[in-house]
Amino acid sequence: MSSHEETSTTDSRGRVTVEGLSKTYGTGDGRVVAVDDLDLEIEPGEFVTVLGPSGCGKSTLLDCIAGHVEPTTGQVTVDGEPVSGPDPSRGVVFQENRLFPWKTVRENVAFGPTVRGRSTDRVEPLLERMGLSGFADSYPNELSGGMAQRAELARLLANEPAIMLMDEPFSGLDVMTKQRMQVELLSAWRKTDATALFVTHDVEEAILLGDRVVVMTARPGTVKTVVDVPLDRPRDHGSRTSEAVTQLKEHLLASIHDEADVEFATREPPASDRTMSEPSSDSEPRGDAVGRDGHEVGAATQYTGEGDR
Amino acid sequence: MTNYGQTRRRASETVDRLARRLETVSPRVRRGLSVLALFGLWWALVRFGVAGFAFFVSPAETVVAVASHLVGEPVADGGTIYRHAAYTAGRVAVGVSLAVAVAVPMGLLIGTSRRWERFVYPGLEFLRPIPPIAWVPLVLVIFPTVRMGVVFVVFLGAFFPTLVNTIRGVQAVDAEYRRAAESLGASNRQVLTRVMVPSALPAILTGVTIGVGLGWITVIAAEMITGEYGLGHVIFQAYRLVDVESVVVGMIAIGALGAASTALISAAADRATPWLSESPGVTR
Repeated sequence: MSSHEETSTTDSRGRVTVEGLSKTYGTGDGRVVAVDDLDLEIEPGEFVTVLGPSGCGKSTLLDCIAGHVEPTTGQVTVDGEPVSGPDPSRGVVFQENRLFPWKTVRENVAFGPTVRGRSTDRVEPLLERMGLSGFADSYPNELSGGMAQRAELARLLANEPAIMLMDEPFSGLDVMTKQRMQVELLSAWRKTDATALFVTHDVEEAILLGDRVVVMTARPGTVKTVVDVPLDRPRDHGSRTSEAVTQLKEHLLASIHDEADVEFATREPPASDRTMSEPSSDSEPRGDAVGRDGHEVGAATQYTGEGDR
Repeated sequence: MTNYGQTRRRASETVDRLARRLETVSPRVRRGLSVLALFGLWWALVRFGVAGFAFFVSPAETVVAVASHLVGEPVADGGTIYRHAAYTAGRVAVGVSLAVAVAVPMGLLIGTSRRWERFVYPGLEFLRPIPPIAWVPLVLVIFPTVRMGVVFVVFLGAFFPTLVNTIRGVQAVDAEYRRAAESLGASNRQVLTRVMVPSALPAILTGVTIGVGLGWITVIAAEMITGEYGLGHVIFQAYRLVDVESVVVGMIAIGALGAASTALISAAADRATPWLSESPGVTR
């Protein structure tokens, strides 16, 4: 009887618990509270997306879970173990592509298993599955943006992480490539048991990918609301236009624009820290602004992502 | 005014046209033309006695001199040009190799550790502005043999550019690469060897290239002072004996060896950094 319990606990690898997480950068007048008293629980194998306005501390949250940033107060635990630094069980895909430029695609994908002294048998099939076989001996600077992100995803998967952390990985891609990558990510993730945390400021992306969407408040960032996504899996491009998505999108847009308005009203000079200043929305496709009454069109443009569909 | 402007424009058009025509010529021929032009200028300077060039040897005399030394006629103190060149090249090779062997690890240490930067770098910063040649008198006193002294001076010449470029290269490594490697399971040591070093490698190689250049400069100057063997000694000895031909032969030997070492370094650098030479196949 207890053996069954033990099995179920090993199966439930990848539970992320964030308790009372706060992160403050700088001191005195330059002091910025990036994340304030944030609680979040992610179930093993769950796909959670984090949605929020620029500079709301989404990246800081992800950095804390990854172990790259130490919380000021509170803590992150994974399967009951406090996070004290980076670990290969928590893989990260970065916003800017971070393939090692001095390594070929194959060497990049094999990096994790190689440094950990593990078998690299998975590398070739993975390259094949991700459509990278023809580019295995190319260097990252020879790849297109979508190809490079696919290679970075393959590098992460080669390590078989229990948790996949993704920080706006597709924000630099054009709309078509971005949409393809979203579906490819879903199919790659389905083949794993991994828990996924995906940070984005694109509402449609958040809905399409996530089991739950965590909406964050403007600075200081904390959880505003958590919304379940009533969409069956597997999901594909068709899911984008479903009734459920359209309704949820409307709901989330209203929620996020409240936050964007707060942000606009209290906008300060951009902080120097990376996590404080989101990349310019230039990389973001500018769809038609959703002219929600009373909301600034500029703000709307920033979050609708691909326009109103 | 207008006339002058027109003439200028016409002249620049002619130059443009010539340049465009030159571009159709193969690179090898173009390089040959460049050397030929240099010889032409040299010949003209000597032929018309511009400044002190009347006392200088003509290209033709030089070619004869070079040929005779190439087949083994001694240049200075009974040594052949090969012997002297071997001494000089050997000193550069040993001096630069030692400099790289010390400067690269030290640069990695200083570049990655605040503590090392604070304790070691200020002292080095004090020594850095002293020209290596200024060390020669001291070096002749300190080192038991002239050979060791000259190698040490070359070492100094190559050491600082390599060190400074290594430090800058390491400090410029994007912290996100480090994070990526750590998240993939790399240990501190693996981060150093697999991320910091390759990422800083282009900067390190730039330092080594500059170091080799400075190595040649310092070795010649040092040999002029210390004497014994080497191309610097050949040139200075020939100058004292008013043997202008040998001066030029020595200069040509230095030029040839310098060019050869530059080509060698740049070929090695290209091989060491293949990701930089690949042209992007797909546009982002």
